[in-house]
Amino acid sequence: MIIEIDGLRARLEEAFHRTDDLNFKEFYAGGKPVCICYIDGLIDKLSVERNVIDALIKSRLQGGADNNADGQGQGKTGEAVTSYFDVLKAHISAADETATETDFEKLVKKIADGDVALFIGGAGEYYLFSIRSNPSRAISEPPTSTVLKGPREGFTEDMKINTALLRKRLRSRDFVVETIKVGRYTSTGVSLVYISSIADPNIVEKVRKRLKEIDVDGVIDSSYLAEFLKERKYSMLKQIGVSEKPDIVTAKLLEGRVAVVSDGSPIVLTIPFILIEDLQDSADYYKNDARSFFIRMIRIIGEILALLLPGFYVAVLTRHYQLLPMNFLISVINSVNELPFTVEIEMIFVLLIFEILNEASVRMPRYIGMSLSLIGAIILGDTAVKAGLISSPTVLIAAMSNIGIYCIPDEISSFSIFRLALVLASSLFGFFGLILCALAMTAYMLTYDSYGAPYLAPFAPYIREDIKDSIDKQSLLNLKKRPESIPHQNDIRMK
Amino acid sequence: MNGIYKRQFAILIFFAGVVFKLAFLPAYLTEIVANDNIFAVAVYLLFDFLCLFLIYYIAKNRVIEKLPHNLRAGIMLALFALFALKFAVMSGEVSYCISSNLFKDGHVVFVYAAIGALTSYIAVKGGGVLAKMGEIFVVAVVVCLAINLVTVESDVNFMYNLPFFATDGKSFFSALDKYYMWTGDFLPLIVFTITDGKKKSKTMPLMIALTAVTVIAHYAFLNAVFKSGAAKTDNLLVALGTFNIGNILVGRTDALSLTVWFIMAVINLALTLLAATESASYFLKDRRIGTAAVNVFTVLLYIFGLKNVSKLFDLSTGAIRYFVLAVGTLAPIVIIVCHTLQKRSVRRALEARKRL
Repeated sequence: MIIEIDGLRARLEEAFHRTDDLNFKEFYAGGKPVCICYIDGLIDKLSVERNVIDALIKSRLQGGADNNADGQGQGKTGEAVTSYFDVLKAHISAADETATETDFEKLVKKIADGDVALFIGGAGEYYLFSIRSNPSRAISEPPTSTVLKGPREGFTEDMKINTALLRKRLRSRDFVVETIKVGRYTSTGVSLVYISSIADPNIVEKVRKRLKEIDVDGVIDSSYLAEFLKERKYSMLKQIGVSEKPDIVTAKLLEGRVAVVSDGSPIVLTIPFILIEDLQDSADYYKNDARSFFIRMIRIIGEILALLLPGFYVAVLTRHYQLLPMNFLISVINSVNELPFTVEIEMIFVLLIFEILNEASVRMPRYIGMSLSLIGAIILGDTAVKAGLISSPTVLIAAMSNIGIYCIPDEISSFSIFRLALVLASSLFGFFGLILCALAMTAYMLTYDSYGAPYLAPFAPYIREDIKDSIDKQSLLNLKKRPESIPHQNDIRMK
Repeated sequence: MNGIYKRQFAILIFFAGVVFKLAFLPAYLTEIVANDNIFAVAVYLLFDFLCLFLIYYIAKNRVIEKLPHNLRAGIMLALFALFALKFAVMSGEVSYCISSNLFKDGHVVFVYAAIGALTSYIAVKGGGVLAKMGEIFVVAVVVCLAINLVTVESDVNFMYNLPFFATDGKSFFSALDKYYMWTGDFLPLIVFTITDGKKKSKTMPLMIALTAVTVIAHYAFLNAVFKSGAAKTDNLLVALGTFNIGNILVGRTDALSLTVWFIMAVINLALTLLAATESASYFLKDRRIGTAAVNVFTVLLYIFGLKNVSKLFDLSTGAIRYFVLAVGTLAPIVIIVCHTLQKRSVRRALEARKRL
């Protein structure tokens, strides 16, 4: 192959369908025609001007006299001289990576990925440099995971920054980053990260295999990858851990998990996932143990109340009036008297209204958030009750449930559906239905293993060592071993 | 077979041993032997614990898996019939109890349908799920049972347990003879294998002791609260719950007793159904067929036979109880004897080969 600049330029323009952001810059260096090609917006243009073009012009591509087609040749006294590639590498110091390529299709792919391609007239290969300038936002505290005390750094949409944030905390040669490209059109960088001396090699291999098997148009966010990594395709349960904070992901890697970082997404996936992870919060480890224990108890109680209270209320009012003390019963009956709806319809209606409010408050522009909150509060809290459409006990129960469900915000998606199922079961079968449905949900969760980790560990199966960091938050000095519920190689955490 | 940990096995002992000894049986025993019902149930417990030691040996050493094919087939068939029958009777008890306490009677088949669906799901998913369910609920159940006993606000007079041995021997043995259906509670555990059998664990003796203490204590409270009126109680746990101090202060906390008993009952029913499914799976490849067969049998029995609780009682105390006693007693003994003979013949064959 011998490069001819004009012909190559035409081929590239054809390959990129004459897109406007494909730029070429032609110049001469050492008497040779040189052309660089890049996608505008993906590279650091100032660096290309100063460190590539100017550097090459000054170098004159000196590689000795009588260079042949790929820049190699003999010197005047017969010694071997360096190739163009060596010359380029010596002069272009600003590049992150340098490579050569002879395949045109691979060249197109690399340019699309954001590399700078350089062609020298008469040479036998293409040269590629990585001088990228990915636009991304600054590192800030993620809105979904705030702490009073503790690190506030959060991941961004740039995979390199995210892996760097993890590398900053895991300064060990055992910290491995394996990067692949996923997505036919997006060619999204996906990094599988783990600590090789801790993570279970079987899990690493399984995740690696699943990532490599992904054949899809594009990966926009890490949640796309989560769909491929799930063990059960149609389960309502959360199966993959997520986090936006590097300190949390680091802690999980140190317990034996693997993480998947996706370019374009600030959310990092962790595998395996067990339910107790969502009960634990990073802030628990930065404060007093007794306080952490108390807070975890509050979370559990809040979550149980959130799930069971609406169903219990419906069960009592539909079939089991006698469960309530008389005074309380009279008060409730007076509130629900002469309502147009039955209590179960009323409860489902109010829960759905709260779900609509939640969804609207997430999506609405910030500036009208206040007015919508007022409207929601006034309509639900006052007007609807006064109009006799719904009762105040129902609104109270639904509000308590909605507040309680945010004690573990990462489980809202599955628990809000479970809550509705419990209300339906209670409306059909009363207390019996509520208990049966709760037992069925427990049994459903118990059937699930996440990459070999039992979903409800360390409670079932009971693992004494792991109980130390479950509801009961013991001192870090007592957590000498890694959790047994997560498969790993190396047991000892502290000596 | 279903591999579980020693701790999980021990917890299932508690659920299996307590649930149906605290439901209808107290009233039945009291009717014949009055306050000697404690001794009657103690005899049953002793008998069951003796069988439990054999069952534990079988589970720990995976004896059933090593049996010759024909013998194993015969034992599995007998066990399947036993567990199917017990499941039908026990689920009838639970359904009637729920129906009468929560639904003003009626709807027994619908109550059973809901229970049957859940227990079938657990049975099909296997012993691991069941064992883990036991682990999840055991602490809450034990605490609730203890609170239930401690907070009984009534004229509790333990002197009503006296005099002991007031019943004549004939009536006593007649009572023991009549209620064999309520023995063999631990037999379903025979289908499990213990994966960490060599690990030392205090949970096993603790759970055995807890089972015995729970049952005896409840019977003592039954006599102390109800005296001879115990013969008219429906479900002992629920009955004691009506005298709970919470009942007076807050409302009907016997609902809490019923909830606790119901959770235990579901686990025990799932255990029995799982045992039936495992026995059937020796002949059928798909576990779901065995589970479905037991459910169909139970529904047919309700629709065409067990129209009400008195018919259920007649069936349980009829001739079929001897089948339950025979299989429940003989199955573990036959298994161990055959296993011992098999080991002996294998050892002799090895020794003979060495001499050659």
